[in-house]
Amino acid sequence: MPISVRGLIHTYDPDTPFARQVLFGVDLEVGDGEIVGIAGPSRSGKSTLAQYLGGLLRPRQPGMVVIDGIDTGAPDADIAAVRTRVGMVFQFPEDQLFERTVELDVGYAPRLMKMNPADVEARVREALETVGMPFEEFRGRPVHALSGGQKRRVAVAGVLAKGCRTLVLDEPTAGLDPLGREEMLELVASLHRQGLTIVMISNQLEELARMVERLVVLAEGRVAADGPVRRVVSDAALLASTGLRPPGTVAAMQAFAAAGLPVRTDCLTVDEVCDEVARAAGGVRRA
Amino acid sequence: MLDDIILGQYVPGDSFLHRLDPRTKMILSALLAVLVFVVHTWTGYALYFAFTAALAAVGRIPPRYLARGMRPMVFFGVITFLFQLVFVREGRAVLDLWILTVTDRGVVEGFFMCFRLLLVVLVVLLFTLTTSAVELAEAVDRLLRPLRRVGVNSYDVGLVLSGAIRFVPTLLEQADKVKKAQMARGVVFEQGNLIERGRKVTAILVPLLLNVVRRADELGMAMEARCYQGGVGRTSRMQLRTGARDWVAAAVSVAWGVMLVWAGL
Ligand SMILES: Nc1ncnc2c1ncn2[C@@H]1O[C@H](COP(=O)(O)OP(=O)(O)O)[C@@H](O)[C@H]1O
Ligand SMILES: [Mg+2]
Repeated sequence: MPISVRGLIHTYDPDTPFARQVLFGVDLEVGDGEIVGIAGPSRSGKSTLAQYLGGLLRPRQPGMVVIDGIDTGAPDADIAAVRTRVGMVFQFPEDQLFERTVELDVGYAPRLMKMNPADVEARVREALETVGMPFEEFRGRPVHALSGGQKRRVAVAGVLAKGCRTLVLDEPTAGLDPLGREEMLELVASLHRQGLTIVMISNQLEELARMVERLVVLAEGRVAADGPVRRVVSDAALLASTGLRPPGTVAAMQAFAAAGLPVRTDCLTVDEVCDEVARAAGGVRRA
Repeated sequence: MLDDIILGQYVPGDSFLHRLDPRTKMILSALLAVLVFVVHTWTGYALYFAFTAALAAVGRIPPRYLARGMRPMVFFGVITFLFQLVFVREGRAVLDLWILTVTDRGVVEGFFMCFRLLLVVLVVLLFTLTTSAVELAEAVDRLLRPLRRVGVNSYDVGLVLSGAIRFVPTLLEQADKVKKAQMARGVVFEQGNLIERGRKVTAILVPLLLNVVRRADELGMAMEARCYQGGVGRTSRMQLRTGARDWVAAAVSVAWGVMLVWAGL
C-alpha cells in the first residue's frame, strides 16, 4: 500500500503568536512491503510527519499526502479507510490504552467496525498471537497490571486488529529496558517478514541500522538524506551536521580508518567489523 | 474547536500591560469586570468595548488571536440571549409564538446580557494573556496576605489559582493526545451527526480523566518529596514593584469607569 508525500508543510498553532513551522516541504515515498526507517534528532518533526502518514493530520497548507490512492488533504477523502489501512502506533502508546481488559482494548477497533462478536474474537486472538501474547493467557488480564513492554505490545495489537497492512511506529523502543527493546525489535522484524509495510521512527541509528533497508534522515523539518541504510549511516559529514550518533560498528570502523587502516566504514554488524578488519590487517601483514 | 480555547496561554512580551504590577492588573481587571454590570446603554457597551480593544492593542495581543479565543464563547452568548428573550416579560410584545411572547425589552436585555458575558471573558483573557503563572501566583499571595490572620494560606490560594488556569492548556494537550489515539483505532471525529459526535467526545473524557488523576497524583508526590508546606517561611525571588506606570494605569481606568457611570451610560 504505497504512501506518497510531496512538499509537505506543517505549522503548529497557525495564526497565533505561537505559530511555529516544523515541516518545510517533505518528500517521501514508501512502497509496498518496504521497511523504512526515519531518523532525526528530537524536535526534527518526526512525530508530526508520522501523524500525516497515519492519516491523523491532513494537509491544509500546500503539500500532498496520498495513501493507497487516497489524497488525505481532499475534503471528501475517505479518511476512515485510510485510518483502517494504516496503523499508527504513537510514542509511549501504553498511556493510551483505555479499556479495562486486554481483550476489550484490542477489540475496540473491530467492534467499531461493527463486526459480529465471533469475528471480533477471532481478530483479537490473531492480533494478540501476532505480538506474541497467547490469547487465552492474556484476554482477561486488566490492562494496568501488565508490564511496560507488554502494554506496548497490546497497543500494537490494538492497531493490528484493524486489519491494517501498513504500520507506522513512532519510537517504539523509547523508554524500554534492554530486554523489552530486543523483544520489540524482534516483533517489528517479524511483522515485516509477514509482509507488512513498516515505517519505523527512532533517534537511535544503532537499532535502525539493524532493522531497516532504507533510511530517511529528517533534520529541522527537511529530508536531509534518503537512501540505503548502509550508505546513510556511514556518511560521517551528514551525521555530524544533524547531530546524530553513528552506530557503534560504524564509529569503530571510522576510528580504524582514521588510524590509517584501509577499511570501508559501512559495517553494520560485529561480524562485518571483524571480517573487514581481518581483511585489511591481513593485507597489511602480507605487504 | 479545542484549538480555540486560549485561556491559560501566556503571550510573552514587554508591553505596558506586561510590565504592570500583576496586583494592579488584577485589581483593575476586577473593577472593569464589575463595571460591565453597571453599564446599561448601547453607547456604554460600545465605549466599554473600545476600551478593551485599546487595551489589547497596548498589550500587543493580535486581534485575530483574541477573536479566535472568543469563538467558543459565542455559543454561550447565544444561549444567554435566548434565555433573556424567553424570560423577560416586561415591555411591548413584538412577537407572539404560541405560548411564548417576545418583548422589545427582552431583545435589548438579551443583547446586553450577551455583551456582558463576552466582555467579562475578554477582560479575563487580557489579564491572563499578559500575566505569567509566577506573577499570577505572587499577586494573589500578596493581595490575600492580610487573610492569613484568619487562617487562609494565601500562598496556597495563589498557587492553586495560577496552577488551575495554567492547567487548561495542559488539559487540552492531553485531550488532543487521547483523541489522536482513538483516531488511530479508527474513530472518525470529522463525521457523524450531533449525537454521534457527542458520544465520541464522551469517549475521550474517561481516559482523559484517568490521565489527569494520575498526573495529579504524581505532582502531589513530587511536591511532597520536595517538602511542600505552603510557603511557610519562604521568601520570594520575584519582587513585585508598584511604580509610576501602575498609577497611570489605575488613574486612566478609574477615570474611564467614573466617566461611564457619571454619564449614566
Ligand atoms: N501539538 C503541538 N503543538 C505545538 N507544537 C508542537 C506540537 N507537537 C509538536 N510540536 C513542536 O513541533 C516540533 C517538532 O515536534 P515533533 O514532530 O514531535 O518532533 P520529533 O518527533 O522529531 O521530536 C517541536 O519543536 C515541538 O515542540
Ligand atoms: Mg517524537
